[in-house]
Amino acid sequence: MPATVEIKHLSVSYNGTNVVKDVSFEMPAGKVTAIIGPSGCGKTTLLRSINRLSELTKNCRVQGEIMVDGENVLKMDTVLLRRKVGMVFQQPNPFPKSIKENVLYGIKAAKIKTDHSDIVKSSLQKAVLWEELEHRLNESALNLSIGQQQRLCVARSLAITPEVILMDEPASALDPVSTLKLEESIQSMKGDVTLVIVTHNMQQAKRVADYTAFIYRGELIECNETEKIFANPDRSETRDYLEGKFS
Amino acid sequence: MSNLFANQAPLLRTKTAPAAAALIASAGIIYGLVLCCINSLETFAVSFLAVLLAAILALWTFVRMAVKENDRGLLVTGAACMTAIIIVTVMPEGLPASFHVYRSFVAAALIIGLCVATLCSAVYRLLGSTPVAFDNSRYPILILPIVIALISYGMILFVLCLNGLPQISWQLISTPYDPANAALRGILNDILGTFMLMLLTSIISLPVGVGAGIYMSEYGGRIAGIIRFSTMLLRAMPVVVLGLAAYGVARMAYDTAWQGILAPDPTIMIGRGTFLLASAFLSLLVIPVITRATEEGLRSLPRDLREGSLAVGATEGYTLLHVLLPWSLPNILTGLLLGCAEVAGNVTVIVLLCGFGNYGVTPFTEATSLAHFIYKVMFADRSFRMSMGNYVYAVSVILLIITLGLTIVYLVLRNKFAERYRAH
Repeated sequence: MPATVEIKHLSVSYNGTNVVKDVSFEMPAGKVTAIIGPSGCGKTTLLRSINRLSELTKNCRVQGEIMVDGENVLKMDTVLLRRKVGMVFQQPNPFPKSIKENVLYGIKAAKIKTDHSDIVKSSLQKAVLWEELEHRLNESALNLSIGQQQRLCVARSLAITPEVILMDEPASALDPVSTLKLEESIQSMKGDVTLVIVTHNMQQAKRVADYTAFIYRGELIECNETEKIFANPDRSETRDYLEGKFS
Repeated sequence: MSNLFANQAPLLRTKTAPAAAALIASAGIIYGLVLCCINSLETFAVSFLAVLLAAILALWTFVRMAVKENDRGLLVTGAACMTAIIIVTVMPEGLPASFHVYRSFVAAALIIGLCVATLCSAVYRLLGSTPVAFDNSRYPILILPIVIALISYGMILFVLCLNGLPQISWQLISTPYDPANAALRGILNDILGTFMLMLLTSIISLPVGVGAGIYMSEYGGRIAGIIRFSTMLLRAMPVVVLGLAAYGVARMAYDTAWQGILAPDPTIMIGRGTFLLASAFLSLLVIPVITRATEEGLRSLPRDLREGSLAVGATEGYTLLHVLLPWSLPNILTGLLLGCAEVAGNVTVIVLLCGFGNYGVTPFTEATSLAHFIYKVMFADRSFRMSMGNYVYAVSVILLIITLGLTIVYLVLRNKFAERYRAH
């Protein structure tokens, strides 16, 4: 079941420096929301606060509310939260284990008793990886290409049937062909799970996202339907950024 | 803008002079090394230095003529060579009878140093005087210490094997020592005892060391600081203090509930300890090594991997067991190997605890080890020295074989684990 993610007056600071400033917007259930903005604008920090990985960094302070399916994330048990909110990282980070073990890692960690081969198959299918890897399930994940590794990470986070999946510039290490395959898998997940994608590739946002939020210097400038943002943004900053006039 | 390198001297084409200089210098290095062993060869030192000086000057002149370059480095080497001739000539043979030994060592050191310098210059010219040739020509400086180290190792091995190998027999390594029975004069229990010490010490120090390492890298804070400080203190402590403390514990254990666990049967000399007690004290030396190795291993884990595990809803504990520990396994193994080598060779900690190895090898019998055997022959019982004194070299060779085997096993395991868990 996909869940709505609602961010209300979220502020995040590292060592007293405000990185995200009073941001409020909503990511609708089952849709793809892209967060765009220049490097260092706080979009990754924003994303990492949704599954509270930001707390692993020392002296990080999060204020405000993040609601997932009506529940405040900041008051949840982090492990239970991360079973609901999965994540794909910028660099593919498969574990040094077999492909199958990688997909089942979350299931085994949560000690869920279920039919493993079904989960492996359906997760890899949604990550557009099943046909390539059907007969290589017991090989080490580290032998895969970077693009396959990244889609394996998608499958890994899908396996525990999360309500939300966060993606932190998932295609930045990938070549164009792998990027297209990754986007294909994003399309196949749509509707089953809420997707939040941080990207600095605006074309990618345009291709995959239903909604787009533009963040600049830690502040939310604009959040709207992707078509509207790209065709006719409300704010002049957004237009400047999209047209590359920004310094 | 004109080319800055346009006026650079052309490269040297003919290579007779550098080749000759390189040959003389190489011969000189060998001569210097031999001179360290055979002092009387010192007679030829001055004449050799004169030949070397001639070679240096010839090379300098050659470079000067061929490419119009004034190689100042060669001039400095030549001047140093001249100084060396003066030093070796005027250095008195002196009043102490052994003074010529010192003079021959001084001559050897000077010759080796000068020859390495000359060899560098000559190789540089031989390789065509290019910038890359300059880098490559400095290898003699790096290689010489390695050569000297290898020669030293070789000599140690040679002496040990020459004396030890002929003494090793199946009877020696397959029978235990028995003072009452002249036919049973083997070192079986010393060999088994060494393994017993390594095994028990590993069992004690692995959980403690790995645990402390995990705590220090994962939690930090004040307690971690205290642990780090105390492990450093343990490493810095004079080991003989530990040895005395172990002896004290063994004495205190008599006639208490601990007798039989820490101290063997009281009919044996008071103060002797069991393998368990010896291992407990040896593990104080091993724990800091394993702790440090574990900590380093955990710290080298990529942040992404840990976060990847947490992000799919694994607990910290699950992440530790399934990601962090497999990752640092090669490091932990390194720590364990260093620890076992320490245990195999250590005498100081167990010097007062060990017996003669005639009571069998279990955790609760009197401790003994191969390293301690050598101590016993030299300093302990007279009758033991009479019967077993011939076997010290054999014992050293066996000890070497054990550590060699240990190292090979370690390398195989480490590579296997590193390939399996780290191939990023």
